[in-house]
Amino acid sequence: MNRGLRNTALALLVTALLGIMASRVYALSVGYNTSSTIWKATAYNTTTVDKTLYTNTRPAAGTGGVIVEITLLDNTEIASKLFPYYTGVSDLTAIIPSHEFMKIYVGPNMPGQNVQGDLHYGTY
Amino acid sequence: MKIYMLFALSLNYWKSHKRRLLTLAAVSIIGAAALCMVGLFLRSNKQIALEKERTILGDYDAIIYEINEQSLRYVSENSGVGAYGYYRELGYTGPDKNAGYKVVSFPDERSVSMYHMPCTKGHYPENADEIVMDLELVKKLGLFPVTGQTVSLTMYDTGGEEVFRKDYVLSGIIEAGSPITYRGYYRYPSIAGGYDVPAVIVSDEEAGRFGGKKITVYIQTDNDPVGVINEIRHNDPAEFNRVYYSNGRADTYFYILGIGNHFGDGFAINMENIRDALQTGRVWKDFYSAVAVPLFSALIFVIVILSVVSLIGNVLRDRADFIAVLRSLGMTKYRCATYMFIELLALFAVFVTVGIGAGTGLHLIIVEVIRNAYLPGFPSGLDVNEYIRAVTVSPYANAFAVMILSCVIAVLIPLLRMMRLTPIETFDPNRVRPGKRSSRRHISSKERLRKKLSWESIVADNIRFHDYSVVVIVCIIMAASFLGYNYFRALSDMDNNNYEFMLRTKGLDHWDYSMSRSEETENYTFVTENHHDYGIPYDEYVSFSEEDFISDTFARMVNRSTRLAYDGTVVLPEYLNLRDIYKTGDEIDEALCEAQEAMIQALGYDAGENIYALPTVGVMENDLELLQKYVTDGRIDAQKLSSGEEVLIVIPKEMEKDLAGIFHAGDELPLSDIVLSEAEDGYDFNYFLPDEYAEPVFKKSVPDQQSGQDIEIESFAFGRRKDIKTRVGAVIVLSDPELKSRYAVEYKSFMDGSAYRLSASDGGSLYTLTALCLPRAFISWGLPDNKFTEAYFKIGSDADISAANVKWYETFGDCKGIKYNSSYEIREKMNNDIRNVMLVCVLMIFTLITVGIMTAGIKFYSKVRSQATTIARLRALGMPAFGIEKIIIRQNMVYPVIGALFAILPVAACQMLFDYISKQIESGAWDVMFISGDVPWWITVPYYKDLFGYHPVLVLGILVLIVWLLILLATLPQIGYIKKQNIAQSVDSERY
Repeated sequence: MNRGLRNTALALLVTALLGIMASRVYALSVGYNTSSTIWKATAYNTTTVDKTLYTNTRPAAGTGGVIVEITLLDNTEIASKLFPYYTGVSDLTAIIPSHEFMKIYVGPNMPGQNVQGDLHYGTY
Repeated sequence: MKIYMLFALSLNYWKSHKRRLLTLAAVSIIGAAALCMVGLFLRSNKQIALEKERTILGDYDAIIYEINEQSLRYVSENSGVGAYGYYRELGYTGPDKNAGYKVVSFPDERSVSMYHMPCTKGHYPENADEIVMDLELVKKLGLFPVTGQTVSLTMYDTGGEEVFRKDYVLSGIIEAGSPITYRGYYRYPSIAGGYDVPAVIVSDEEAGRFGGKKITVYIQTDNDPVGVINEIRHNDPAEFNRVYYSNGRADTYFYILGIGNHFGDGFAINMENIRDALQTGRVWKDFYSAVAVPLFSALIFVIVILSVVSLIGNVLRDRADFIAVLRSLGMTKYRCATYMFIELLALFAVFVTVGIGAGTGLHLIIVEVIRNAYLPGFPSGLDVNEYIRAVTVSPYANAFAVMILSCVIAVLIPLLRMMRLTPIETFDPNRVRPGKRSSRRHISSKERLRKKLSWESIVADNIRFHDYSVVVIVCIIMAASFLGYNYFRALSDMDNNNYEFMLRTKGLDHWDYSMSRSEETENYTFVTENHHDYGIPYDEYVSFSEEDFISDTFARMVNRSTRLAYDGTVVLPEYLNLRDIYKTGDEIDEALCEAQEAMIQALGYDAGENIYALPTVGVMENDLELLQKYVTDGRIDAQKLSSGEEVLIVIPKEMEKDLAGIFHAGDELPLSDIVLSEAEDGYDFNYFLPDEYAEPVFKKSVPDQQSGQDIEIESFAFGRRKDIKTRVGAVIVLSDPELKSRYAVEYKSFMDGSAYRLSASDGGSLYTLTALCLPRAFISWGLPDNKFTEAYFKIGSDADISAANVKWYETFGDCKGIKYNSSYEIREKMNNDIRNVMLVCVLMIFTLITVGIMTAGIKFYSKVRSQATTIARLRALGMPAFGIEKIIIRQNMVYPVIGALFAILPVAACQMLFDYISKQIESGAWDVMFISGDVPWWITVPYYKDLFGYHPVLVLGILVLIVWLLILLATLPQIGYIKKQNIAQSVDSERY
């Protein structure tokens, strides 16, 4: 194969590999195992610009899925999303204003159900 | 008998020295009143925070939606339910039949109180002709948000059938949400199918007209709410499934008790743990109670000691002969000291108690003034619950303790000094104690000859009016006031962070009004956009933008679901790829990938096509002019952009390198969209359960490795591919953030952040590759986009804001699915919050200055009286009284200037601390993007604010003027004494 074709193939391969690896790039991860809504993470934006807080989870146990909520420190709910059991769903995001707190809550969609999994989150 | 005699002697003394008594009383009462008042206002502020939390969360633990009224008895009979309330689900109202603003009524006061959605203006309906509405609905109807006006509404039942039409009087307005809340409402529940939060409240008398039979019940319980609800469900034969465990009370008290600052210690947020924390004292005071009040108390403590010490010293000197006689008659110095101590302490106890009463009275008066001036619901600090008492300083105990302690110390110092003397020594209060140097400055004879002899120089050589303790007091009060003002301003700015954020995100930092399509229009998977009936109609926008009072405007139509489908010949960056599930080797991931592929093909795309996001934005023709100088290829042809024949490709600068060489003017673009049916366009994609609406296009059972059970993987397809014929008219590269916000789409708004994130220096590109056209192009393409999704307006500086408001509401009141934002409303809320914070600050400063200047006055008077004989001798020799007064005033006026210079130091020191914190964060030494465990102490400090940014020169100037004026007033007793001085008597007198 000629050099141009080889380089193109290599670039495609690297891009694909990066896509696979980077498709799940999160800053932090914390496990949960709960039957009620609990507060799992706190983010504080130390910068002078607004950032985006993103979070995702794929419940590993329990039925009905998991609700993830993002709130301000005074409990004003900013974003909420249902993450069904064992289905990949896109991130829940919220803008975290400059010098502001956000809290991330995790809880079962069906009350009383025990749900387990890992909560992934980060900012960009 | 002895005690009675001593009491009579004390009474006699104070009767003949009323002025001294009044001075002592004034210092004690004002000090106690200041401490008490500040403590009460802090409790008021905390109560405001508590009420705000209750409004956000509700004063209940769980809520059961839309059940039959018969089920109420199972709720009331359940022993686990501590209290309950309910409202009736009556129907709907709004600008039209499909408006969807829920109408409810409350049967009793308890239900209203527990639901806790107070009116920000007015009151709940008191008769059948009154109505309360949410602010959003008021605006939607084109009304100005004031109570008392007549509103004509059509009411619909829960099935959507018209029930009646009636004119109501708008008695109150509620704000059930804010511009940044999820789905627009504070209490939008996370349950399947969603829920329409109440937005209209009528009196319970009206309920019968609707015919509705359902109610929504909310309960308080100290047990596990899930267990209690399950028990109710078990007993009630009727089924109910729509339950939301809001945990409102626990979350509220968790926040108020400051436990949130110490997250990470395994604290589960429930009422049991909250009560336990309250009992064990595991609560934390905020900045005001933990820092501001103790600091303020310490300052009052010092100032009171300084003033009371010299006062008591004078009192003891007055009674020196009396004490000497008592001791000569055999009373021990301890008994003597005890008698004087008890007498003075009893006096202080009475004055402090009066002061606390005065502080309470003043607090109530100021609360009434605030309620009438700008905040009708401003709470008094007197009646607060145990949670607020736990995290605030007790106003009474603190005031009593600080004042009594300072008085005790102030009494003990001169008392112990006097008690050290023998009875004979006590008889002579003017004796100079051994070792004390004369205060007279020695002047050499040469200096005497050199100096020009004048009365002023003679007075200056013989009399010292300066008191260094006054310099200290003035420096303390001015430094505390200046630092306090700047710090509180910074703190109130920090508290207003959210409002600043609202202004920024709604574009209101530049514009006066903004409108945007509401967040109910969340995309379905694969970026499928619906609710094309939501938005701002083209004609209404054009009509309003042509009003005289509009000075600037901008609007755009955003379609996030358009996309490019390449057959593999063109490859764009992976972060634009709409296929967001990748194979990882895991069996479940493989199945998910297959499910996504099945959905993509069911929508009309091929397996071999690479599908990349390319949202489309339509703007007005005159808004294209700004882009002329950013064209890198091709030209802008408005006619072709309007017909859809061409689009502009907008590339954010940070993506330029990745997209180099891909787009050229004239290139055909494989653009397409996902178009939904009319029914699908009306779906609510939040908490969407697709299997209730369609059959899956993919279904597969996959075994779960961990549990061994089979998992059902499904996918659904809504809508169908529609190809769009267009080509590239021009390529534009933008770097200016303002331009990108207008002509590009935010990356995360369509990608939901699931794809690979750009690693630009600022953490990621905010804006993405976008196609730009004119609004008519969407119609040409056969797409349903025909309404602006965002619009912004700026009014002229001399425009009538009220008239503009009315016109704005009238014009856009009929628009569906949009949220209105006005910078005036947000700034009014900000100003209210700043006022609440600064009220406490102003009170502290005012009372501190008052107590301080009073102390200074006492010191001045004492000083002049202690030198009365010398002054009298000089006046007897011919010194004019005016000369002395001039010297006194000139000396006293220097103090505020010294104080002002000194006041800069603590502010500068505090700013240095702020700079240090900022530096540590910027350098990464303190990296706290994600917190686990205790919140760092400095996070609650407004370290990113500039303490010298609040008009320091002006503030310092005003402070100096105020202190000058007060010092002048405090000097009047000195001058009065000199004017009234009997020279002959003073010269002969050996005592004062």
